[in-house]
Amino acid sequence: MDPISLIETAKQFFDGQGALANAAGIVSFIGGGAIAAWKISAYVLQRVSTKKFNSISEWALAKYGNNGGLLTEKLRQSIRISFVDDNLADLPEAYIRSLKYDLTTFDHISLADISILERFDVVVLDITNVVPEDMRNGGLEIIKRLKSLPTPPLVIAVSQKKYDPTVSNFFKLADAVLKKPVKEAELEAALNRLLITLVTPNGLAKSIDTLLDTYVISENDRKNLNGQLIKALETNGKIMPEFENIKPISNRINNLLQRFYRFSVCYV
Amino acid sequence: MNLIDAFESGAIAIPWAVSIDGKYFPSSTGRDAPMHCITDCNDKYCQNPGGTLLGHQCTVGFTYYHGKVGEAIIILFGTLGSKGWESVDTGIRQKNKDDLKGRSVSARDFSSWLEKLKSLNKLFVDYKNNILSEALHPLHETPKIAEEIRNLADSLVNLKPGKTFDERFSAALPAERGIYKGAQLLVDSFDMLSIFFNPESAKLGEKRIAEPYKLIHKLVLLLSNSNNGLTRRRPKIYGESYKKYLALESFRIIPLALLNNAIKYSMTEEVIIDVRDVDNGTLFSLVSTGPYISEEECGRIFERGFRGKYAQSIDRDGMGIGLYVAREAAIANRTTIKVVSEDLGYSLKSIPMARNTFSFVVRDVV
Repeated sequence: MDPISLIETAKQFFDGQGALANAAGIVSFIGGGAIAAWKISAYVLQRVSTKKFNSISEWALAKYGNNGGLLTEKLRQSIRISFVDDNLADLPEAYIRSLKYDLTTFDHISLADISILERFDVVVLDITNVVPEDMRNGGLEIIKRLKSLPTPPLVIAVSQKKYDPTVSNFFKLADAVLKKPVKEAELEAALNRLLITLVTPNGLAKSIDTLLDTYVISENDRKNLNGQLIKALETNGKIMPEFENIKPISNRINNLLQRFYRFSVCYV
Repeated sequence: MNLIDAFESGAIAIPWAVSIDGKYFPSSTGRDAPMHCITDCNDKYCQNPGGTLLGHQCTVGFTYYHGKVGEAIIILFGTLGSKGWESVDTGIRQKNKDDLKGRSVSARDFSSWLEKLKSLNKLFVDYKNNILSEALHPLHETPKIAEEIRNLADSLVNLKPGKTFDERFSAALPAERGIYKGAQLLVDSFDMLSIFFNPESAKLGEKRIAEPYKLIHKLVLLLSNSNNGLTRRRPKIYGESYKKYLALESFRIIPLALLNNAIKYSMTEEVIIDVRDVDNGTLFSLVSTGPYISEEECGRIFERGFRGKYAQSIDRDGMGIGLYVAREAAIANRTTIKVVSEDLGYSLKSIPMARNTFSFVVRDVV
């Protein structure tokens, strides 16, 4: 059959079909191709991921380089920090702004409004004179509520009340404790220490590895899981890993994955 | 108010005669422990450490229990335990028949009494802490002000010419040096008081790099600075150390408190500090000549509020804070302070003299 008669035959065929059927035919043809391409790429990706990398950290380092372990300016811009202190002059507000962190300050906060603080990544919190309902130790109530959330913000306790045994929990629940007045370098060092493992791609990858290390599974299952997790990270969660083998820590892994999806865009 | 005070008041019922921190209490109904335990027994095996809540038998077959409420050790001894009469030596059994009435105490009986005591003790502790919290609340801004003055004094000294802190400190005016020293000691005092009132606080704060040799050098420089121009007793530093460690903020308190203690109680001019790197860390030793510390006292001088036999006559104002705080800071920084007192065989102002060495090994806190 020559080309002209081939087109003629095709035309006759399509003419004999309804418009909807035509559309379906075209879509299924294109869709089939796309699915095939996606399957092939996923297969290739899986081969590369599982074969090449022994850990999530190795993969992250290969993808993001050393830069992936740094709190870059773009990343800092997306980190939400709040200062909660009746005397904001005790905290290096201008310095934290100069580092381009997304900073909000509160000189007091009512118990009814504590949920406002849930959206922050880091809360720098004083204990005294910050909650009108409990001027003496209101900060303790704030930290208790924040730390009971499924994904609590990091809290840096800033207070000189370390002498008071009745508020020991305020300091124990905090991720870091700093003296007042807070020095620029000390707050920056505390932020670096806390944030690197929870916001940078390399740090988060290491956190995932460390968490998996605490959970005993067979070497083979671990390899498979590594491959699946890398796939999830590569696709921003479009391909989700199987958590069957690691159910008890799945929530914590998932939390780290979500953080990764959110912050890794700052490194593109 | 503590447990012993409560028992002494007679208001709290004691079901069986017991000993609390070595002090004997008969039961509330007036019954004593078996006569054998009180007068005849020589080995007092039941009073040795190592007893448990489960109960153990002594040499004559009585059962004794140990329990802890807060810091107090409670020992219930001379009971029949779960095995009853059978396990007790026949002669002793006959002799103490009457005393043993009502002393069939099982581990469960003892534990349930202990739980009640713990609840009571918690009430005492909470009450004391609440009073403390209220009383100290007006002072919560004061440590911050001290910190601010110290930071300003630090800037003053740093404006002076010199490459090292030593050089800049020496170049400062006597008044500036005085302000720096005063402000630093004020900050240190608040840190020590924080640990004294709330020992848990020694564990708080960020971990930092500590260089033992530099820290000791700075402390000596500061403590030997005198505002009136007279030379104070200046400790001599020996040894070599180049190691660095990750330590808590409270680490500084350990050598500071020990040094203050040595300077305060040294009866001669010489206070020697030796800092040297050893296999597993850096060994800090402080040697001075002062009142002899008996073996019993060596175990107790680190207790809160405890003062040695001769401490009172040398320093009336001491309150037994320094060494207690040093021990808490040492525990937080994962080390132990050792003390050795070697009798020198002579007395000064009727106080027997000894070569006293306080030492600890610096290690990483993680």
